[in-house]
Amino acid sequence: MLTDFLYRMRALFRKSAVEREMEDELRAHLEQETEKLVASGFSREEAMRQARLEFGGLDGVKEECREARGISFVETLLQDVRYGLRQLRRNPGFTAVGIITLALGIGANTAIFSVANALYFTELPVPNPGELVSLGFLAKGNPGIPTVSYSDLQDIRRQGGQWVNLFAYRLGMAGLGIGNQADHIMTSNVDGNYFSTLGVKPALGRLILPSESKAPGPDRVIVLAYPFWKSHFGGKPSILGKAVRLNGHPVTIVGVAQKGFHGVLGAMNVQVFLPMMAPSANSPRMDRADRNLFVLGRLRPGVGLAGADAAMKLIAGRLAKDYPKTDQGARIWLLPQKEAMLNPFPKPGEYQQQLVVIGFFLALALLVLLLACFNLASVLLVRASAREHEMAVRAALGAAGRRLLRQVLTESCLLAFFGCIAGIVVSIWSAAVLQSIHLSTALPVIFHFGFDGRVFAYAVGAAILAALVVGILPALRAARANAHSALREGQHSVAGGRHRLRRLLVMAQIAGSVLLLIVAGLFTRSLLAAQKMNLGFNPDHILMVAMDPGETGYNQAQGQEFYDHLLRRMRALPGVRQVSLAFTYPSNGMVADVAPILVQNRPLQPGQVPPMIFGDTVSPGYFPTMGIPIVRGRPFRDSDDEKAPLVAVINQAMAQRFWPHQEALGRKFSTSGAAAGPWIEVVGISRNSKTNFDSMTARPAPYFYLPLKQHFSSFETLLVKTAGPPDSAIPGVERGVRRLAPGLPVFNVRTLRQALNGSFTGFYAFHLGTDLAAALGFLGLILAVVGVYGVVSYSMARRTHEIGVRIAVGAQRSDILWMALRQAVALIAVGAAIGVLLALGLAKFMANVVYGISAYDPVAFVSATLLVAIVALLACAIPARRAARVDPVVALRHE
Amino acid sequence: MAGDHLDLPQGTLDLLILKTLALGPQHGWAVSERIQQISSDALRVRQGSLYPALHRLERRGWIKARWGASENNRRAKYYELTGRGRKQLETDTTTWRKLTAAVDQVLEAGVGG
Repeated sequence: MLTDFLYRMRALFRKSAVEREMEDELRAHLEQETEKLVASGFSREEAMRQARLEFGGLDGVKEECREARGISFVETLLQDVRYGLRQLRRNPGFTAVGIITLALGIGANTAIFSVANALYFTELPVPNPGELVSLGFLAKGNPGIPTVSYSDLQDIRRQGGQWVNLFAYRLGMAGLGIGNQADHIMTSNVDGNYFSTLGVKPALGRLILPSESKAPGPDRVIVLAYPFWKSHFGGKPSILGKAVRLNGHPVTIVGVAQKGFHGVLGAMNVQVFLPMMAPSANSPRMDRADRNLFVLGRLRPGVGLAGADAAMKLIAGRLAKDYPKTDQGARIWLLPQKEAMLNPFPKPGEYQQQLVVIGFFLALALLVLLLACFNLASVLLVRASAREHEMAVRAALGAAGRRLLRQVLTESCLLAFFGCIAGIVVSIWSAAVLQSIHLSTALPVIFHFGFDGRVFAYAVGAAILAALVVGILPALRAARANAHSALREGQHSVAGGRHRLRRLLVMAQIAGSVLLLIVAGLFTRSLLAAQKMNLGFNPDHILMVAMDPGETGYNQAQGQEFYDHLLRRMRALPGVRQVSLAFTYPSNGMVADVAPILVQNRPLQPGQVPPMIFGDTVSPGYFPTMGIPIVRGRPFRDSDDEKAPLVAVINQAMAQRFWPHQEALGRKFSTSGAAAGPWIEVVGISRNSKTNFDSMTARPAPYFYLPLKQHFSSFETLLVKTAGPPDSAIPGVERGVRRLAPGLPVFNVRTLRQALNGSFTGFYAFHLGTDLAAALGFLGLILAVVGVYGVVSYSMARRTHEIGVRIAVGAQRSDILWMALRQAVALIAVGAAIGVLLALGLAKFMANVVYGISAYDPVAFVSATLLVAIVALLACAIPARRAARVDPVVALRHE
Repeated sequence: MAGDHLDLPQGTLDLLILKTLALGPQHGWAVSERIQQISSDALRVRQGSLYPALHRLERRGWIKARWGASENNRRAKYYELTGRGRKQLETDTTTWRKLTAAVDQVLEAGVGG
């Protein structure tokens, strides 16, 4: 076996030496034979002739020897590659178009996959991420965020610890003060077993210990995330033991977490980790109804997800019985942690729904690649028909059919190979573009749209598919080239069948591009519908700036005073119409308040739990700033402060929910869920509008507003309604803040429009979907046009002789034009019809998934079809007119 | 001239080459001459098929080649039997004997019956 291998290798790599030896050997044989014959009386010349005759064809013997050496496969492959490269070099135009076409097709696929990969398929950089699970908890009356309260978590841990090792975390923003400057950073409060259970190691120093964060106490330590350590501290080890301030509290940096780890949410860039109960920021309350923890866990060895999930169901039942007031109807479920990579609170099935959407776009991209392949296949078919004669001759000379097939396939593989390389370049570039798009999220995010093994494998897979689709049809044709018939009949008669195949390919292209454009049209309609949607507020000319004076250590009184001064100062700025403060705003996705609502003098029925309702805390200027009308009662006044009676403004949906067909004004409710109050009086009813947490497409939900002064929060967003462009107010606002509180960081500076368009809870998904679909539709259209143009111009060129005859016997130019177009019109009509039929099916599916789409949208269907038809016809008109202008004398000589 | 020679049945060429080389290292031309001589000119190797066969046997490791000087001082490629080739020769010879005996038997029976 080994000698065989060595022999083959020697033969392969020392080819010239082996060839030379073989020639020497054969020549020596001939010489000896000649000498023998001379010795037996022949003349030298005659002897040589005889010897050669005896020996047979020298080249044939050499070939047989090579074959006997057993390297023919590799050798012929190299031959084919060389031959293919020669072919590609000989047709630089085709090669360039082919590579560019494939590069776009493969690049589009790879780019979309790299996004999907970054968002949905990347795992945490920890050992055995498959064992990690995400725990969701919902109780009756909870408005749908499946987070867990601290007390419930303790119970679940105690009862379910043998199945899964649970750990909790929270996310928050804080000010990290060094010197007299503060940085606004993202923090994560983590349980003591967070790092150990995940398996994250320190890059430097130590991580949060299990003994820390057990109870509220002075664990004043923080751990930096690796990227933050690199970017803010230059990766210097000397930061260990450094004293800094977190929201004004002194803390010590005790370590840096391992490289590549920035929290358990794939895209979220957590910068600092601190003990769960750290007094400096964001520690949870013990209230069982205060569900504020994200919970993950690692399955114990030998425990399956299904088993652990069943155990959680039992525990949920027990909790519901033990704590009927808060946990009635409790449900607990476990999901694979990868479903919680993007969304910290996933619900069963959500991840799969998103995968369907991703799959949908990947399928569209694949369709584009197919269209690109059809173009190239069609050109190769033409070339194959031009080479029919050559193939037939070679087949007659004994070239194996398999060999011919291989040669054509090698050519398409080479094209695909170069296309793949160029495609990878395209996708790296487009991923960089996608990555640089600034997401207007309130939280810092990082996406890794880079190349990893999976993305590379996908690109190569797409290239292999392309090579097969491009090569297989022409190759099969070539291999079937019947030497007999082709040689006898000449090349033109055989080309008919091939031409039929090309027409089929073009029809498929038209159908595909119509389909793609209809999809793009539907997405555009969805975006338009979303933008025209009645938001219930006016998002124009509003600048927003977020800040948190607590981050530089301000207490409540100082913060209150700062905000009072700030509002006064801002109101005085030129070009400012309205100024207000709010904790959160529409599309923000941040929750100001979610509270169990209890109506005064309306005790709960046994078994009833107070419903959880979302709310916001705002300053009196909020309603005029946002343009939300108060339909009854009054808005807030400056006099609604901590000394005045508690008041609230509720929206129409909330009034309808709690006081249907009654007067809601003057009624009182509590946000504590307790029968003891404190009671808040409804003084105004605002018109329904989109709120911070709704998705833009949801029906209006009950919502309440509380005056800021009665419910102080240090973090606020300043909303400035301007007369002119909102951007112009930025310098004035920043100067004002700096004047009042030097060193206080402001963040999330942007207009409300930007926030709406750039956030996932706003219109970002609509824009992304529309842009992607439009790009793919545009690519598809170009490919189809090139295809139609190619087929018509080729067919006209083939019929030059016939056209010449027709004109010579008196056909009008218009007849010729019509003859040329008729064929194209048939192709386009049939292709478009097929595309429309396919799109009808797809639109039905999309109507269920995408907002604002009707399955029968005549505008999208008609405009896409017309666009393809017109552009394709224009593309045909060029060769058709050329045909009609043919000079009969020249044409008749043409053959 | 051609009519006096027997064409070699498929697969026997390898056996003959191995047998010839068992008598001592030889170059290609000498091998074909030897076969012809020993078989008293009855067997005739198509020279075109000799060299592919030699290369095949070399690849299988049954014979090995080295360059040397021929009788008339020319550079020539000498083939010699390897240990494995010798074993192969024994097996092939046995197989051949059995085969011919069996064929003989059938032919005898055919004549008899």
